[in-house]
Amino acid sequence: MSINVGKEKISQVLDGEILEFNPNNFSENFSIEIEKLTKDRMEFVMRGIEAPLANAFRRILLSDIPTIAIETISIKNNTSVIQDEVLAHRLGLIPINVDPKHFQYRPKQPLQKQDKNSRPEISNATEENTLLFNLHVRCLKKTDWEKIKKSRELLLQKQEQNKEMNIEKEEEEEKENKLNVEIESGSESEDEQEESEIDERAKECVEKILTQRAKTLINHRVLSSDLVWVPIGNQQTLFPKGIKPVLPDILIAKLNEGQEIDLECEAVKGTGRDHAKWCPVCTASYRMLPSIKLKRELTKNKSKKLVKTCPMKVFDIEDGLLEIKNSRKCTMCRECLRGDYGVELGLVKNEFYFWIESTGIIPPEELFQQALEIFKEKCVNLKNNLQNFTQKKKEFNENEEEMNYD
Amino acid sequence: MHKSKKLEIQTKNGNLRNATFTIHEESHTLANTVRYVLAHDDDVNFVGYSVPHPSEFKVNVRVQTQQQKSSIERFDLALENLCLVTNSIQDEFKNKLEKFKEEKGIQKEEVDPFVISLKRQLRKEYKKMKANID
Repeated sequence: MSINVGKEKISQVLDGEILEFNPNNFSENFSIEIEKLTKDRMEFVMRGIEAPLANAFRRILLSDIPTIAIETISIKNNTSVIQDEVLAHRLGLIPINVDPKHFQYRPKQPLQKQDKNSRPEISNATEENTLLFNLHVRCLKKTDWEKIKKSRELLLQKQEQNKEMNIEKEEEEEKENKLNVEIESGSESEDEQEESEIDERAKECVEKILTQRAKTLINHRVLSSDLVWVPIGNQQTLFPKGIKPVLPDILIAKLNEGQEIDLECEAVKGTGRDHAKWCPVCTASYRMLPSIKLKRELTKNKSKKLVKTCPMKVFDIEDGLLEIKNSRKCTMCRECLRGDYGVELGLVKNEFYFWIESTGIIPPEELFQQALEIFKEKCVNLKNNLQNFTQKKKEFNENEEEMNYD
Repeated sequence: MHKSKKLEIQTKNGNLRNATFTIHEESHTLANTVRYVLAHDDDVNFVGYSVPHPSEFKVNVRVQTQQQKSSIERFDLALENLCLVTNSIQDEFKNKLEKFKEEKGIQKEEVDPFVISLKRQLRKEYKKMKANID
């Protein structure tokens, strides 16, 4: 930072180095090294950039990247122990595996006067800005369930061509398959000896581990896999594989015998600034890399002591000389400052170790690229507004005084 | 519905050397970055920003310039520089990402997280069972 006072320039000196920002030289000094990249998590180092820029990207990752989450639910029946609003809150937090690029923001409803006779309509919901999900789970005793199954089979035999009964049968088959999914999913695996062993043992294991309660009841746990997507309009063609939550085993609620949850959810596009459920990252964070310097030479005994005191094993003795081996592992615990070792501890102001943990909706490398794009958009948007402003002022001032520079 | 303003500029008697820019719908994300760029500008005497109240979504940026320079011009230049800088970051990131993927041989398969998590569950339960037997 520099302040011009007359002819003299006062520059702030940081750790003995004068850090300047020159947009022309920026790419020469700037570099990125990607350390780790999985489908959920990315870790990389940025050098040659300073805190305001790095922080801007971190803030955009947390608040300005859009995703889709459940916003409103209509509850037809909820006889479970979980209150309606708590259930709604939990449903909103479930991450839904769909690319938000295909959707638009839902416009806010304009304030309208409502007559006594008119019903409130959700007229802003269209196929371009809403996703519908259905959640219908009923907890029954196994014995009762089997009775119901039998009676329904009998009815089916009597009324084969009735459409409604077929739909109910599909629902029941889904519920029935839910039990079998845990046991039969092993058969989907590839041809490996280990996996086939695991399948057989897992089947026994699953049956053993199921609790007494679970043995006598079906559907006593409502999981995120019970959320069924209902396509509206042309969504079926846009998403042929279907839309599901990112993970199938998120526990929404627990039910006891006779309890039921029946509701419809609407999912909408939004940003983390509005509510944390729309945040695409579990967290996005950075830390500055430590700079460790040895001011003077140490005796053998002292250097051995220093190597011992550091809990992260940053120092090491090679060929009789004390060396800084793993400066990156330093956690700034300051143990090395306690004794008189002549260690200088600091942070490198222009090296950032970034990590981005995604919730699974958007892969982390795409998230960072989107954040950069959004930052550029903000700058360009502001620039356009500036130009509009100067043009307007010019038109205004042509009739009046000229703009004066003292 | 009226369109909300994005930008307001306040000057004294139209003197563009010293101006306060009030930017709506922005926060520290952009304001701190612009302030940082302007601070390294030789033609700018003073630059600072503030968020008048955390409940209101706007920032004030104050720019004071040297003789014969317009603060609006400097602000405009700062935004342009930021765009250029972001471009070079984007290019560098893309290059390094491609290199990393080539080196590690990451294939672009789409794996269903449903199946993965079910397999993970089964493996855990198998281990538990094994531990119980042993």
